[in-house]
Amino acid sequence: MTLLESPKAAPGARLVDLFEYGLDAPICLTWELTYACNLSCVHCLSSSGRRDPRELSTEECKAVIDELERMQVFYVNIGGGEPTVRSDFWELVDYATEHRVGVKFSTNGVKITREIAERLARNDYLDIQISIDGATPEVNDAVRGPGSFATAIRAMEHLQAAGFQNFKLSVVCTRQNIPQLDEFKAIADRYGAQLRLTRLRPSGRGADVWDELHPLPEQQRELYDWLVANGEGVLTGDSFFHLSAFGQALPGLNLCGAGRVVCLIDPVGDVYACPFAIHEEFLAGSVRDEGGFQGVWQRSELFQRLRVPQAGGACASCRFFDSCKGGCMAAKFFTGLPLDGPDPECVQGYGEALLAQRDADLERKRPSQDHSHRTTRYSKSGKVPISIGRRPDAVAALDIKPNLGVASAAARRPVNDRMDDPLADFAS
Amino acid sequence: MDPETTTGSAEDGIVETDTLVEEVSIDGMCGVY
Repeated sequence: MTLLESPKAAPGARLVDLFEYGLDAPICLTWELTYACNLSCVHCLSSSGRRDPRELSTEECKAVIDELERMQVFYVNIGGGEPTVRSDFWELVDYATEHRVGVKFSTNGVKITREIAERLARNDYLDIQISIDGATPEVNDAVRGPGSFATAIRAMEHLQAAGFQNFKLSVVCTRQNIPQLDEFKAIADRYGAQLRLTRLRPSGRGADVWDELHPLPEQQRELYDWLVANGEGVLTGDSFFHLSAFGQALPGLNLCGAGRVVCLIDPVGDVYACPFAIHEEFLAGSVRDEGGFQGVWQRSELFQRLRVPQAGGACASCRFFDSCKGGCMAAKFFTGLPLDGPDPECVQGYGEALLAQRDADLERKRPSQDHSHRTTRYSKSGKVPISIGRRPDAVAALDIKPNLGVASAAARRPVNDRMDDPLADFAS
Repeated sequence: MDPETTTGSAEDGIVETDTLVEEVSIDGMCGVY
């Protein structure tokens, strides 16, 4: 893997700075194989639920894998939706690893039986992460749905029993689970897994609940301190680089990699700059285009524009800009903040003032795709009453408002009204 | 690592880039919940 053309590095420049000019293949390629999902997580970054009938076929997926092999992409991060509900999922995993493209996939555990776990444990080019968003059923199921905690735990038990060592336990950090960080670590240790914490983004359905779920400012500090104290051995997906403005930089890639070293292939083959930015403004092309994925990655006009150093804009005068690089592009975009300004969760507080103006002056962007299950109830007011979980007792315990009035989601139309069954066309 | 070496020959570039990936300890698993 090599750097794309870039200006001569300035004396004293950091090597990581050169990433701003992009690489000839992505380091972190996320591939959402399907929008189908058995769950309806309130924060789903891809608004998944129902399968899209335009989904890439098995042969199209294999052609993409062939291309990734030629580009020497080391591995793909597979998500969804719930990728394992694709009837050809295991076939695609085997095909990728046989073609020297490693696979890391994220699952809620619904298909991880004892037999599957044993099969997976035999594949050295495979990593798995099981998702939970609470260290207790009450906290987890309020976000991911009833029974989802038990499903995840059962999957981890199977992986452990099969001897799958060091699989990952994935947690999206929220206001409700930040107090459980030690408990998450204990769960990971119990099953021989490694903990990965990820930042909640206001992407997909996450836009509807971000105000209520994203960590409070004092929790950002708590999380930062916890990562500094416990970070060795805890992964973050390099997603908390905005916290580096507290002082000591966290390990990893401390810049926005969108379109530079990171991108997303969605279930229908569209290529976006970032998994958290599923919106027309960040659509670079399609693997179905002439030139395929490589053509999109190396020549799309959007990616060329993104492969320049960030100017900083309103953040340029901040002494912490070199640490946080202005934060997450998607977080700014979907909260309606300018892309050349501070992150909405800027730890120096610069984002909060802008957010205060947001409802009056700024337009919140909406995701371009919505494959949510059609169980969301639409009110006459045009606001969507979102139930975080279906257990009023758990919701009350968490002090989450059970019905969050969120404007404008009604404008998002399902991609396909026929696809009520999320698992339609899939073998059980 | 001397940043000047990153602008050397194409062959040098490949070697330096491999080193680069290791030095920044990229997790590489972002964008999936």
